[in-house]
Amino acid sequence: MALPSYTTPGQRIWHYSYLSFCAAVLFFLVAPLIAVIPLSFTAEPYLQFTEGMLALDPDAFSLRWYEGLFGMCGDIDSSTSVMCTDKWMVGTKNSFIIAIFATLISTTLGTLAALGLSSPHMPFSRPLMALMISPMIVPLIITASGLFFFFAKYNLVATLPGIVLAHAILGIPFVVITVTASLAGFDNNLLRAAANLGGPPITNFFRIQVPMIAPGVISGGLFAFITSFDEVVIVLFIGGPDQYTLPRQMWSGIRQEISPTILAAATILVILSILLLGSLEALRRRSEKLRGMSPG
Amino acid sequence: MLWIRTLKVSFIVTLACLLLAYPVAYLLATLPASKSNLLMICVLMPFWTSLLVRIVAWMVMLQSNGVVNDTLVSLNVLDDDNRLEMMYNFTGAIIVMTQILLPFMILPLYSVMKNIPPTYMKAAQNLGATPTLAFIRVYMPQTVPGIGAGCILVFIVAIGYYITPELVGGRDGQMIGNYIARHMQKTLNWGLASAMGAILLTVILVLYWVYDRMIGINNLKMG
Repeated sequence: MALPSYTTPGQRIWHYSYLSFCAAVLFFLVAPLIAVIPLSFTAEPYLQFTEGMLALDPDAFSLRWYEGLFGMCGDIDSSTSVMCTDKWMVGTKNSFIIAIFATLISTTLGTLAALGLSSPHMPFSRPLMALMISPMIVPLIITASGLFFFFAKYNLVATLPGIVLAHAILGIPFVVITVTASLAGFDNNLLRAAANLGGPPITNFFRIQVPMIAPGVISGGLFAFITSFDEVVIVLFIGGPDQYTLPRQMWSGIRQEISPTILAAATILVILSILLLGSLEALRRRSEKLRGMSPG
Repeated sequence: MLWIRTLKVSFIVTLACLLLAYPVAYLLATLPASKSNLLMICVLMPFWTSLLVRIVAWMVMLQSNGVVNDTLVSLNVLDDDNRLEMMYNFTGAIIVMTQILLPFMILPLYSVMKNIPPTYMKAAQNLGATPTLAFIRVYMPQTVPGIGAGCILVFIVAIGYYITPELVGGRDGQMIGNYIARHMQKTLNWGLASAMGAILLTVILVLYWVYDRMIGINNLKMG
């Protein structure tokens, strides 16, 4: 935003203070995440930048917390420590299993729901839509308590299917929203043309409609995946000891013994989320390109 | 008391988010796309980072030996024995929740501002309004739907928060969600927990209904 040459000094001051305010807010958003990364390489067991680190002394840095993360405890004092265990690895594995199944369920159900709700013949589509989105709005603590009582009846508490179902419920709103958005740009004449050319409805759906709305489905799926992967309240409420996930390990780490191992885990997760954001952005571009090609 | 504190935290967080988000959303909406996409990453990156990771990050920043205090001490703004208490209390809960919920305010404001033609401001100034007057009388009224959407969204999410107050709120930053969790898990007073949950849910459903009437729930955008 270059200023025109006729601006008064007052306008200039106002303009630059406005820009610095915005910079400060963006800094406020990003700074904590960036501070975590160098600190995870500390050699000391404190969540604090040491003088050695500030002086860039190589001895002040180490990978020991990453080793702890991968279960290689080495000389860390701690057979008793909750930080150096294979729990990180077990938790990561469990988180992936739960998130993958939950994503499959919520992507399938959410896509079908969005297809139905987008049809012009659907009665009550607005209240139904509100109902579909509600898991995103209702506080997790209420969803978790409610599911606990509900699942108790069907013996789903402390089971893997229970957690997967609960996470699938949380993921559905994201899929419904993104698929509905991509359906808004879909031209129904394409399906009519396909039917006219003799394609059966199922083939037309998979060959014509699915590739067109795929970016919406995939980005909804990514949202659902990250929701499940990061979810801790449901796991705390209805998960048993066998459903020990990565967020749960982080949770107990934060509550019991804060050590830089958590920062090492956090760094990996920050990098993961950057990758995810990158793929979402690529999907969005692709979707815009596809929409540009479709008529209307 | 507990309800008042929950409402107080939610109001302060909503207001803080609005004040911080409005200028940033305006900047993002008025910058050319190449620059604003770059800045948008700063908004979206925390949005897509794990909640627990962000909480840990704030512990690093705000604890009494944390980055903020260390910086202030080394700049001689603060005495070494006078470090600010910004973690495990009310202040901590407010700061952390504001940062976590800020994208929920920036994104709806941005999508509304993006659709306001910049020619309106120019027309107003052409008709003799000063830039400030044009902004207040012409631009701001058009952003009201975005303000409404962002505020309701942030308020709804804030009022039901559990994880953040539990981990950084200390004693005086606890909210209704924490009491529901305590009665569910520790005292096993499920009746009381359900009653509190029912009240909270009613408040949220009313706000959700208002949001749906005002903006339409399917206009909710994420990223």
